Amino acid sequence: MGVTFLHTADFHLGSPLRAVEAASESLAERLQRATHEALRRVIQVALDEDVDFVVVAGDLYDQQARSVYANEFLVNQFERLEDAEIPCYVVHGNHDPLGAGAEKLPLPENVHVFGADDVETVLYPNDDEPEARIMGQSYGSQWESNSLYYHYTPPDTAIPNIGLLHTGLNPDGRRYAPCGPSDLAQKEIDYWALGHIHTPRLVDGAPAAYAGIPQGRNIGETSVGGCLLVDVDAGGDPDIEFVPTSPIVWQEIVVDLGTANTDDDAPLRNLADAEGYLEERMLDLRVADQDSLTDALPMPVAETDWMPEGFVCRWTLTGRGELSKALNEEATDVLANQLRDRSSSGSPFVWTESVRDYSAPPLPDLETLVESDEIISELVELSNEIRGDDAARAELRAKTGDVWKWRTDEEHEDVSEERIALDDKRLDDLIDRAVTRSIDELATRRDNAN
Amino acid sequence: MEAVRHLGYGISRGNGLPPATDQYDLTADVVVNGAEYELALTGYGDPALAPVNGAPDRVLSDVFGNLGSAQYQQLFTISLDELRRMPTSLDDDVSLSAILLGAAYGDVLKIPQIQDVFSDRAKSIGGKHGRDVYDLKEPINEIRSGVDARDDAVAQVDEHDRKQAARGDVNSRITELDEEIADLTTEQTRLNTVLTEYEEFETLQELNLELDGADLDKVDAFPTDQLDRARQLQSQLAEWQEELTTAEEEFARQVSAEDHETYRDRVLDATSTIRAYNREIAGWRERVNSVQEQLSELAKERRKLRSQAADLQPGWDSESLLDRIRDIETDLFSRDEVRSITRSCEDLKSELDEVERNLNEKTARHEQLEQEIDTATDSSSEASHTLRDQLPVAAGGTVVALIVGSAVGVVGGAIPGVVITLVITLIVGTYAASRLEFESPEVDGVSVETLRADKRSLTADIEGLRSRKAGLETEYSTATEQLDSLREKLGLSNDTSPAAVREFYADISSLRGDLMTLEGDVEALDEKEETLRSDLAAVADTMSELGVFDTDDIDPLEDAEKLFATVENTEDDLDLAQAVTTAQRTVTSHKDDLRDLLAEWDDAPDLTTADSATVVRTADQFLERGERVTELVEAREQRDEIRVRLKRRLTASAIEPAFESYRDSEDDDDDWALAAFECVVEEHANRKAIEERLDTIGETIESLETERSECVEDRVELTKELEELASDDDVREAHATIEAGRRRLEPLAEEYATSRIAEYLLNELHERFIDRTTGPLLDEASEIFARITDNAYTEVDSTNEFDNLDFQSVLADGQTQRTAELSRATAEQLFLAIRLARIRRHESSLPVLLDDSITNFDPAHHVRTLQTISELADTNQVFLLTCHPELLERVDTHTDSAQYWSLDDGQFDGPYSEPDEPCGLLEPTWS
Repeated sequence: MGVTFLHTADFHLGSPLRAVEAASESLAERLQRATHEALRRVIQVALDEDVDFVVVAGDLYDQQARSVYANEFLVNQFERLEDAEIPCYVVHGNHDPLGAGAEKLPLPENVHVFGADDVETVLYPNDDEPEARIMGQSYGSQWESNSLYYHYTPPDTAIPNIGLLHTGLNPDGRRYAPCGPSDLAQKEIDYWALGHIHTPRLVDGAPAAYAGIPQGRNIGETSVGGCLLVDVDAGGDPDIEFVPTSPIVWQEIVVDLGTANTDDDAPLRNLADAEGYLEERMLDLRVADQDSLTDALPMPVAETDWMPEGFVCRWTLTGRGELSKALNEEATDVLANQLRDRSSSGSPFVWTESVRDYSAPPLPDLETLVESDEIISELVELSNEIRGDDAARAELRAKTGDVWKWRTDEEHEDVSEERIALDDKRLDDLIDRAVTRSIDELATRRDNAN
Repeated sequence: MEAVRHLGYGISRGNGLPPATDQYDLTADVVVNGAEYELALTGYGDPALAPVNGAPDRVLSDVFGNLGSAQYQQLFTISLDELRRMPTSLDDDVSLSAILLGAAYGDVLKIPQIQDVFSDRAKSIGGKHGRDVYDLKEPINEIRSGVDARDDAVAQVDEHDRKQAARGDVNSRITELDEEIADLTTEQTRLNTVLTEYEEFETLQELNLELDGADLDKVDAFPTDQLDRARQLQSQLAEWQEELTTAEEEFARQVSAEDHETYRDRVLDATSTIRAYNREIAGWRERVNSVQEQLSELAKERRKLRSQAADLQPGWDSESLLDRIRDIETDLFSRDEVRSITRSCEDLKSELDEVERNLNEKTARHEQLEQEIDTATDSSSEASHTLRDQLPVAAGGTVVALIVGSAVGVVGGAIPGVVITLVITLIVGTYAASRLEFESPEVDGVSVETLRADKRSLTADIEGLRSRKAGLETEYSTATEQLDSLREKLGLSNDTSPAAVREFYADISSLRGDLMTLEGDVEALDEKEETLRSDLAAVADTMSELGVFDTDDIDPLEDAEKLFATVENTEDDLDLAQAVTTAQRTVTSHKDDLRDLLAEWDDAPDLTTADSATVVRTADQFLERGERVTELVEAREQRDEIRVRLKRRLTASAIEPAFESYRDSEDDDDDWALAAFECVVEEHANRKAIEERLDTIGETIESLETERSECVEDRVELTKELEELASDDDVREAHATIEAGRRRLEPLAEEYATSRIAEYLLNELHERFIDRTTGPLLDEASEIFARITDNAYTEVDSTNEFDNLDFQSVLADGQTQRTAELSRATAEQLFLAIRLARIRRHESSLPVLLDDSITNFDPAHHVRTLQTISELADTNQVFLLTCHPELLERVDTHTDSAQYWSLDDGQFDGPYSEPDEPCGLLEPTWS
């Protein structure tokens, strides 16, 4: 006996895309409504595929972005399922915990919301002739330190058992229902429908998967958003297929000035060169096909006619090159605006979120510098030592200033807006830039002295 | 000393040296690692290094260990002053400390400057702690305002819930008010209805009172529906009674018969016959007229035929003209036969005449030809041979040829035989032909032979014509016989031409046909006349039986008009008789109907045998009773109408709900409405009480509606607020503000962090370099310093304030002293120790100049310092300049290989192995 259902999570409805500041009114509207549109498409997938039911693994909306409009939209989408007689099973996560207003939503009768007090069990389609057992527990507050998985104990394995859990999948965590893949694997659950992590992925070592966020909201969520179609039999391995839905795809495109060339194979030297080069990259994006956009997904992708309505791009200029001399804050803004003027219309559109300049003026390559300059060599050696020195890293974290907030992976969503999250990767990036800047200064002063 | 200082670097024009009298010209012998070189400096040019004695090539900078001019000057040329202060010749980029610490250490000493750049940059962004100050302040404040706005916007959801609840309360109150207003409006409607229908309701009650005293069963049983009919029958009975009397009188006056009754009966019995006769009269009249007209027409036609017959054969007797025509049996011949006979005679006669004419012509020609031939024949030769004469010769020759040919053929073969036969035949033929003579006589150019041929042709023609003529004459004879027979039958003479015969036959045939037709018509008319007469005779008989027509000596056809008038009069009588009868029947019928009608009245007497008068009287009583019943019925109807009208009014959709509360049951009938109406009326003392209650209700409703209007306004306002709260514009705007702030904050935060990390890295780098590079130097300086001070100070340590040339001196007891705390001599010893240590560590062994650098030392320190310098002289050439002879003596005492030079009035003198000579020069100054 098997069932086919749609697994989705992390709508974060109402949460806007972080790229709309300078967008035109119509484009801003599309970007603002992208999370809504993604949800509408997810529901459409359920209707088109005529699934048995839909499971939502938390964070339906963002507590900090909730609005009456978002609430009504959410209810309307559930009503579409109700019209098609498709049941929907929902747990709430850390962004929409029960007790914080979620329970007030006038959801239609086809929606079952799991409580926060204990693990609940619901039989599909009814208690008399069950075809599947869905178990779930919502968050009652922003953080859930209990290992909720532990209580997911199905009474039998005659029908498929499906666990609905919002978790960071961190056994050492303290905030998001701590557990590990081995913990999940030991339960007699045929499929764990997980939420909280925004990148769709299969969990190694357990019959579990994250559906990911249907629509990425910032440059940290560059993966194509969508939902999962799951076909599972009692005691069998689930068949999982990713269905892309996101109308907008985030892209961070890194341009190394050391290797980027114009059409004439000349290095980029000025803003015109940069604009021409980036326009070519935009064109590459616009002609990208579905396969190339979903290649990186670690799971089978359904054959659909999905293509994004547009891309939101961050252009990160790195490396050393002549162009760096022409770049400053004003120049990058001008470049960004010119790029926006070029490709913010059409289909798919390409909207430039920003141009970030981390490039440096041309210098001999680092190896040469290290060989020829004892101080630079020592500096590089010192930075490498510091990267591996926890005490030094801790000291550096303190040096970054109060505007930065050190956080662990688990705390990635708990940084206030007026502070910037700092993690090891970001710290390494900052160290890299500091080393580069220091080398620039040392080399420049040395050259001037000579 | 200046020469040594510039030897390796050249002399610049602006360095304060006095100008050369001619030009600067310096040379020096240089030994590097055993190789000899000559160093030459000429004028302001660059010094030149030339190998001597096969020494390898070497650049001057290598010889000086890549040491800059200033560094060399500071390190290797030490004056007393220069131990304590920065030389004025040095620029900002070349610090004494850098020189002291070494050339590479100069770069390290720049690190703090770069640190400061990064530090300043970080401070300008986020102050000391990277907080919301300076550049970070504005974006952070923007984010905070966005967060506040977002909190407010998110709170709109709760506000929306509250407003929605408030609107729910308002809706509930409006519902309550609506119910109250509806109740009062219902009562208002109810009481207004009561007031409107009050008078009618009173009428209803009065009618109820009137009807309550009547026996309504009897009223219902009374056949009121027959009243009108009874009234009508009674009236009609009277009318027809009068009509009967009038009809009987009219019949009696119109009819002449004595026994009117009998005559009326007979007439009535013959009604159908009389009606039929009268319908036929017009036809009969037409038939009579038609017969008479046809008789006249036939007589006229007969006369016409007679006239035609007389014209056709005037010889016929005028009396028997038509008989003669009738006797001619034209039927024995058909028209075609007559035409055939007459035409045949005519044609045969014509053809016969033509044959005779041709025969005569040809006979005459034949005779003419004979004469012409005879004449021509007599004049021609009698002896001419003819072909007939030569035929025997030809035939005989041919036989001979056949015989000879056959013989030759038998003997010599077929071919020779044939050839012989042909040859003989040819010879004989030729002979016979030669014997023929041809002669041809002519008449007027025509040959006799031609004439003879013509004659033979004419002879044949004549014979043919004669034969044809005989045939025609036979046929003509036969045709003439037939024609004669025809003439005879038609009564014509034998000389009547065939054409006349044919015309007569046509005329007589036509006339005879007309006569036959006329006689047929006469016969048919006779039959019609008889039939008409017979019909009229029957009518006359009927009229006679009625006693109104006498048939004696009457020809019905001739007296037809009289008969017709009688029939028409009889029909008038019949009409009168029928009118009497109709009146009698109607009177009887009405009386029966009225009696039957009265039989339905329960109170009516038995009228079975009653006469008309009784029936009429009873009808009067019936009608009188009916009027009363009608009054009661009308009252009841009025009551019912009022009830119906009231009920209809009360059960109208706009009114019924107002009385619904008084309804006890769900009965289908509407009587409950009247009962409810009565209840409402009874609930109020009188009409005025109702009016007062209505006033109260009106005021209350007005008050409630005012409150309701206020509630509706509140609801509109709440709905508007809810619509505004339902928009996510505010939260979107707040997020946009936050995002805008973050977009500005993030690069600044990165810049701040990058600067701080760079500052940190550079500081670490600086310390590491200082530790690594100054450590050995300070160790060596410590050793020298300890020797000079005789271990009063054991160590020289760094304060890391190299820019200020500050060091720590460690005493034997472990205490430390900063440079400022040292005595002048000790401080000079310290810096000398550091310089000597630095010179020791330099890769090249360059000449060292000490310009009275140890003047301030006490003798013990002098000695220990000289010992140190002496050791330095093992590796470096040391120039010790002094104006103190005791220093020379101590040098001499404590060193082995020193050379002594004197400088007097600008001139060097020496070298001396002993210091005496130089000391001699210095003696005067000692005093």
